Amino acid sequence: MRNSLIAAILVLSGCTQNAENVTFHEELVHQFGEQKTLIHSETRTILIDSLSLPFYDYFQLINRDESPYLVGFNRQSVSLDFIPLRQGDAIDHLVFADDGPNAVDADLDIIHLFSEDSIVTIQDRALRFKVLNREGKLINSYRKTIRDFKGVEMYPVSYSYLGQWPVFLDSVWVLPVYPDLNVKKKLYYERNKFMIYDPVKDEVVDEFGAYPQMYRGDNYFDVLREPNLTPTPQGTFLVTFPADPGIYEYQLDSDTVIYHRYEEWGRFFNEGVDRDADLQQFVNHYISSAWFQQLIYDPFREVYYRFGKEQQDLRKSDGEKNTAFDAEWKIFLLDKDLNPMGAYSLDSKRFNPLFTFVSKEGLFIYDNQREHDDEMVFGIFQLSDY
Amino acid sequence: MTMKWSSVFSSFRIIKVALLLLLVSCTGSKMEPYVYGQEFEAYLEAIDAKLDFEKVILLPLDSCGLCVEQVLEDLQKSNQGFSVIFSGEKNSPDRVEKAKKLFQKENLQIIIDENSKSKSFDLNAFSPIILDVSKKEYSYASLSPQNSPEYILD
Repeated sequence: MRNSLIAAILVLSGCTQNAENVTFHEELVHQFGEQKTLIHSETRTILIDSLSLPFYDYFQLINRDESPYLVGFNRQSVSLDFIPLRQGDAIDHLVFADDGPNAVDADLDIIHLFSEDSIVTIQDRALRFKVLNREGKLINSYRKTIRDFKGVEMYPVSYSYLGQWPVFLDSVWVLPVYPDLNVKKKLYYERNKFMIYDPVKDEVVDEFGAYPQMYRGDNYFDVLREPNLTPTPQGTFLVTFPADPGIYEYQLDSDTVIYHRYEEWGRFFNEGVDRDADLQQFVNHYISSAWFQQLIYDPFREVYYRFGKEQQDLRKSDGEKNTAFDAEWKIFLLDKDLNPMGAYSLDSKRFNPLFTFVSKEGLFIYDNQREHDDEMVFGIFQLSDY
Repeated sequence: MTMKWSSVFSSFRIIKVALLLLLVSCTGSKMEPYVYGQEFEAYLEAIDAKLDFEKVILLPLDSCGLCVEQVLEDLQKSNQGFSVIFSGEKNSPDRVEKAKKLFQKENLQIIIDENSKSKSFDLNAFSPIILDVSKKEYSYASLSPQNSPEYILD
């Protein structure tokens, strides 16, 4: 039985300009009820070799002969490191060439394994994307033209360490992009953030993810501008912004966007800094203010996890500055209909919310408590009643 | 027709002048007022440092890799006098080695912020910056791979 109720189904609360069409916002208000939390059920220590890293900012989960592997993009050795999540399976590396047609840049923006013989690499300003095989050899490269509906060139990027990932579907790719505009100018925020790109036709077939009004005014958010993209089992896409407590739900081929509103998360409404602020002012704001990070869907338990950093003082009592990890971090649990169903306080000094993923075994969160250099350690978290 | 060509020519001249001005402004050292002067002085006190030179480089070794590499290379080549303050928690061994080589240079005063106290002060130095402390109002510039030689080389 649902503890949280949808209190109100509203209303056309407004409309915003989205490319050439008008997008209507429908609003759903969700209320909170405590029901579930997480428990730290296991610590998983994976022995890694000297070629592997203990922490990856870009990674993907795959199955090899039904064994789960973490595939991390190693920017130091420019390789893909295949790290088994279960003990007993061997680590493997695919080292890319430094130069020539097979070369892969350490600064790569997006890499995706459709299969081990079909590895796609995308670099923001490169004119083509590449397809490589399991030996790291170039199989093919395709022209890449990503322009929004206004004809402005957009560059694909993935702030994976902020939980922002592209989505690769059978026929189209949903890519986070940025325009070649000054990020501090308001014009930057008038473009949609996600392009639906057809790689066969080499064209953008749709776009979505307009910045909320708060980003278009006089305030500035630096990296807190980067939204998350979460596909749902219903085929819709959830877009969440760090400074906006709500969740925007997009259905492709529809002009209506559902805005999921959560009154209880009002404290996460982030005002940013002045648009003229320097980096120091922003960093201080980043440390002290509350904001959201990734929203992950867990298909095994049919729940969503939304990570949020709470407000804190800029300085400790001894005058030393806090870091973002000194704050209290919460993992909010939402059911499959996006109703809140509890929260968990994460020990962010121990567990790093920047390296998380879901597998059949639970929610994996990187554990800083390594005893040896040849270890990669995760906490595995399970759903539990209060 | 004549009018058209002359107007094209004159606009071309205007563009050329504008381009020249742009080039001048790009190559000249352009330092901006540094509003964190007091914090910087408190920081020097905290790390117990006294400056020998009027040009100071704050060099967080764990910041923007390309910028740090370029600044280290330019400092190696330069004969100008600088006070250089190294900070950073997780530094790549390669960069630390390059930084260590600067100890031998007599034109540089090397100060090490061992405990990364810089992180507790508002210094606006998340990548290398150069500070001019010769006047009461300090000025500064962020150092990038492009502009580092301009500020550091003789």
